[in-house]
Amino acid sequence: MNSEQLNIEFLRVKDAAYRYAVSLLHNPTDAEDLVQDLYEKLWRRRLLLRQSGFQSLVLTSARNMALDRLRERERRRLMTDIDEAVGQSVELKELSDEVAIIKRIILGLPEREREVIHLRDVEAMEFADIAEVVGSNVAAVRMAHSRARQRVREEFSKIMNYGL
Amino acid sequence: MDYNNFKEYGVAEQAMKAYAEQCREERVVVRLHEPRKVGQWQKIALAMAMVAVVVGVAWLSRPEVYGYVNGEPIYSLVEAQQQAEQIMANLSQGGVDGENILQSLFTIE
Repeated sequence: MNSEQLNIEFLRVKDAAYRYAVSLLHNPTDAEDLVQDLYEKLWRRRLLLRQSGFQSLVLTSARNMALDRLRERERRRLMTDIDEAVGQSVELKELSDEVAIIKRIILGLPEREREVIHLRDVEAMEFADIAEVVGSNVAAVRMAHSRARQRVREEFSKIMNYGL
Repeated sequence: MDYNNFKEYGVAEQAMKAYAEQCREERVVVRLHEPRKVGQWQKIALAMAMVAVVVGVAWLSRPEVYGYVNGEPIYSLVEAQQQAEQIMANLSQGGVDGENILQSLFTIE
């Protein structure tokens, strides 16, 4: 892939990578930095890249980088014990009540379920592609997605009935 | 599932869809490495350099001329030797008009 092809392909998937990074890092600024770093990394290796499976490659790389950063963030937090490092949360932009509730429920899901529900319901990816990105198999991904959806529905129902 | 739950699950689905749509609108700006633009003069210079290389290669690889017979160049050393021997043989036999042969070979005026 030459640099022009890389730019075209990357522009096509960068927003999905960004949203995925936000869902993992819970911080839009960190996610922006991650996408920029990811692009630089891909640009350096552009001659080895192919167009087929490019989206999966980008999302897998974004995931790996996000996990590295989360580990680094956790290490720093433990070492310096800075309280503000803990409280990094996604800013809730002017969302309707229901959407804000959904967003909060999704944030509270276990990591794997959160990832799968994001890739499936937000990015509309196929289960096979999701399995490739998260390094799992299709059956496990289907199950995680089903569990996540069920949990979201139940939590949502609970909140609507009894309040927060 | 009772009716209330069913209704709430429907609202949850709607909210989930709205959430997904809002997420999809999120955009990020990245600084791309722009491919370097090749200017017109650079293209002309490149074309001229390529022509010069082709001409140079053609000049260096031109065949060596070992002589001329009736104005035509001879590129083979063996053929040139054979032609020379033939002429010498004709001259030594004396059956041929040497001056005419020389004239035909060297265009003596």
